[in-house]
Amino acid sequence: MIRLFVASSMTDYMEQVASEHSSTQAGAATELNIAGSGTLLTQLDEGAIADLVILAGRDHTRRLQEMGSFLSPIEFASTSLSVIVSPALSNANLSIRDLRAGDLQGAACVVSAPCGQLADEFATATGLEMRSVTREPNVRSVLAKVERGEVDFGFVYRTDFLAAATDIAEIKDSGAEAFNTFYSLAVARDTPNMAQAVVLAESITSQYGQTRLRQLGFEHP
Amino acid sequence: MRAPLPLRVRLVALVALVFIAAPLLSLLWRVPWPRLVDLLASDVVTDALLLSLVTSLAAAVVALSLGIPLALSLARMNGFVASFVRAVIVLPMILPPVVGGAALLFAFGRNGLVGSVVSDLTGLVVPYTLTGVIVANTFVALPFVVLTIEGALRAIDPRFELAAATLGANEARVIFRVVLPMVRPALIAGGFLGWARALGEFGATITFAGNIQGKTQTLPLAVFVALETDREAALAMSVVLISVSLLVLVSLRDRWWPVR
Amino acid sequence: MTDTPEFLLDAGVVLQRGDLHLNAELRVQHGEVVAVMGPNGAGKTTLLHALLGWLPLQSGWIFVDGETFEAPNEDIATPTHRRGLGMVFQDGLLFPHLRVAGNIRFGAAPNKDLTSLIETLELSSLLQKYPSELSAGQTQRVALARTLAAGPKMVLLDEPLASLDTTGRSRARDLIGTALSENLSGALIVTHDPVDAFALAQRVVVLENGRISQFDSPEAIQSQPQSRWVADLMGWNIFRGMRRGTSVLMPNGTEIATTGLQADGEVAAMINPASVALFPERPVGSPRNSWLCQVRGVQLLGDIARVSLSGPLNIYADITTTAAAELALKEGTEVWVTVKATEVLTELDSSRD
Repeated sequence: MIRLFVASSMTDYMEQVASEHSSTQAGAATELNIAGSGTLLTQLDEGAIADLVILAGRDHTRRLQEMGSFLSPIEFASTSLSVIVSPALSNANLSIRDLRAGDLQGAACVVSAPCGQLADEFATATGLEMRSVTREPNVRSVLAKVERGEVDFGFVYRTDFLAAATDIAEIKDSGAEAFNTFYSLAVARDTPNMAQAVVLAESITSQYGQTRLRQLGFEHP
Repeated sequence: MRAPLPLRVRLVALVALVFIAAPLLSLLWRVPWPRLVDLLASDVVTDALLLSLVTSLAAAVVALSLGIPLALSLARMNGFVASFVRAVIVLPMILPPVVGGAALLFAFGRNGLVGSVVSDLTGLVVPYTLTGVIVANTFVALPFVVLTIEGALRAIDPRFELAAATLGANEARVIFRVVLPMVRPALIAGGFLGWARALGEFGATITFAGNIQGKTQTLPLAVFVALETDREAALAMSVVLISVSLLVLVSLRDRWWPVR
Repeated sequence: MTDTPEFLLDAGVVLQRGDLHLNAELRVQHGEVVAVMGPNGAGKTTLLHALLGWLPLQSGWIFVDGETFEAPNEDIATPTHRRGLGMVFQDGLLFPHLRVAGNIRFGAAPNKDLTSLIETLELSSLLQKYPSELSAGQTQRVALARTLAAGPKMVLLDEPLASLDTTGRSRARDLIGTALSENLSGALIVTHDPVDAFALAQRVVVLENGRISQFDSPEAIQSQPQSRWVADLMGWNIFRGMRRGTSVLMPNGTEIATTGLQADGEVAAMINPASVALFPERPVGSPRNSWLCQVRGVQLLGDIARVSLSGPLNIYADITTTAAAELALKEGTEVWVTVKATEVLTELDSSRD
C-alpha cells in the first residue's frame, strides 16, 4: 500500500495517476490523503507516515526538506494565480482597479496555503486591500463561493479556472499570471514501499505524465 | 449509598475518562505557558477574542429571545407534532456544522431564498459580516437553549398555571410571573450552554460568514488558521477556549434556585 | 338575572373525562360553606376544575352571583382569571420562586386589607420565608391567605388539610374556619374527612361516580346515610367533652380513656364503629372503656351489621353479621361495649357554634 499525501489542487490529476498505477503495477494499491499543503506538513510534523508527498509552494517544499526524512524534492509542475469574478459579473469587464474600490466582496485561501500566499503577494504588488477578503481553508472553497455568487471575486489557480464548468470569468491582464506556485514531489527515505513510490514518481515526471498535466492546464516549470 | 461497582466496570470507566481527558491534557502539555500572555496579546488573537466574545454573547441573547417562545410552544405540544418539531429543532445540534452553514447560505446568502429578497429590498448582506457570524452562532446555539428550557417547562406541574389564573393572572402574567421565573435555572443553563456552543462554533461560521480577520474571524477560526502558521498562538487560543468552556460547564450545576 | 340572585353558585356540570362521566347539579347559598365528599375518583377535583374553567363543560351552566360564567349552549365561557373564584390546592402549590409575602401579594386585590388577613392566619413571622422552608400546615395557611388576598367571590378548597398531621390539622382547620367566616361569601371544600366537613361546612355534598348521591346537612348525612359509602364515611362516633388527664369527660359524666396527651380544654373523642366490640358478659379484666348498653337498632349493610346502642354513651358498633347473629341482638338486648384506649382518637374540639 503506497501512502500518497497530495495537495488539494492536484486532486484530479493524482486520482487518475494513482488508479492507473494500481491497475498496471501488480499489487501496488494506493491510498490518497488529500489536504492543503499546510495541513499535510502539520500532519507529517505530528508523525504521519507517507511514501510519496506532493506539495504546492516552494516554502512548503523547503519545510518538507528540513524534516530530513525525504529524498530531494523534484519540481514537476506549476500554475499561476488567476483572479476570477462571479457569473453575475462575468460580462462586466472588471479590472483590478474595480476591486480596489472596496465595495466588492472577495475570497482567497488562508495565508498558510500557497494560493493564499500568492494572493497576498499579488495584492501587495497591485495595492489591493485584502482586509475584508474572507480567507477560505482551500482553493476549492474559494472557487465554490465565486461560482455560487456568494462572493464577487476570488483568487484561485489558473488550472481551477480552466477546469471550472460554470460561467465565471477571469480578469484579463491583471498581471496575476506572473505569480506562480510550484508543485514538488518527494519520496520518503527508508520505507518498505520506497521502490514502488519511486516508480510512481517517475510516471508523474515522465513525458506522458507531463502531457497529461498540460492538458489539465498545468505548466512545466 | 449505592452498591460499589464491579472492578471491570470501574476499569472501563477509567479508560473512557482517560480517552476524553488525555487529548486535552496533551494539548495543555504543549502550550508555551511562559509566553501565553504575549501570544494572546497579538493582533490576530485580540481581534478574534473580542469578536468571539461579542458574537457569542449576542448569539446567546438572540437564541434566548427566540428560544424561550419556541420552548413554551413546544412544551404545550404533544404526540407526533411535538416529536417532529423537536426533531427539526435538534437537527442543527447533530448536523455537521458545515452543512448547517451551507443551509444558512442557501437561505440567507446573497442568492438565498430569504437573503436575495432582503438584499434587494434593503441592500443588507448578511454573509461575511458580523451579523453573519451571529446568525451562524445562533443557528447552532438555539437547539441547546430550546431543549434545556423545554425540559424544565415540562417538569412544571401545570396546576401552577391554574393557581395563578385563579389569582386573576392573565396568560401573559402567568408566563412572565410564574412559569418563566420557575424555570429560571433552565433559562440560565440554556443561555450558558448556548453561549458555550456559540463560542466554539467553527463549521457554520466559516461556511456562512467567512474568515475575515477583525470582522468574522472568531477564535475557533483563528485557531484553525494559526495551526498551520503559528502553532503556539493556536495553542494559546485553545487554552482560552477550553478554560471558558470548562468554567461554564462546571459552574452549570443547579445553583440558581433561590431556595436551599 | 335578578339583582340579588338567590344563590352564590348555581351550577350544572356535565362533562366526560376518561372513564368519569360527571353530571352534578350544585347550589351554594350566600355565606354558606359546602363540603364535597366522595370516594377517590368520584370527580370531586374534576368538579372544582370545571367550576374554575380549567376543564370545559359539555353541557350545563355555571352562574356565580348572578353572572353567567359558562353556558355551552350560548357559547359563553369566561376564562379562569376573570371568574374571581379562589382555589386552595391540596399541596398548597405556592409559587416556589416567591417568598410568602410575594405569594400573598401575587393576586392581591388593591383594596384588600392584607394585614388583618396575615394576622388571622398567623403568618407575620413567615413572610420572608420561601415555600420550601414551610411546614405543611404553614403552607396551607399561606395558600389560603394567597387565595383570600385576591378577594374572590367564592373559594374552592381541594383537600386543604389532607397533607397535614393530626396536630397541624386541627390548628389549620381552626384558622381556616375563622378566615373563611371573616372573608367570604361562600366556599366549596373538598375533603375526605368527615371531621373537617362537620367542622367547616353547613352542608355536605356527596359525590359518587360523577353523580351527587346526597346533599344534606351534616346531621342528616350522619343519621340517614343514603349509600353504603356515606354510611361508612359517617360511621365515626364523635363525643365532645372536656379533657381530664388522659380521659375525655362527657357532659353526662361518662369517661372515655385515651392514650393521647394534649392540652386541656374541649376535645372530641372519635371512635370508629369498627373498633367497638360487643360482649354478652362483662369482659374479663374489665378494661377501662367498658359500658353496659342497650341495643336500639341493628341495620344490615352488606356483610356488616351496624348496631346502634344507648347507655352511658350512645355509640355505633360495626360487627360482622355472623357475630350479630351469635349475639342474638335485637332492640333492648343488653350488651357490654368495649373500646381499647388506643382506638380512641382525640382532636381539639373546633366545632362551629
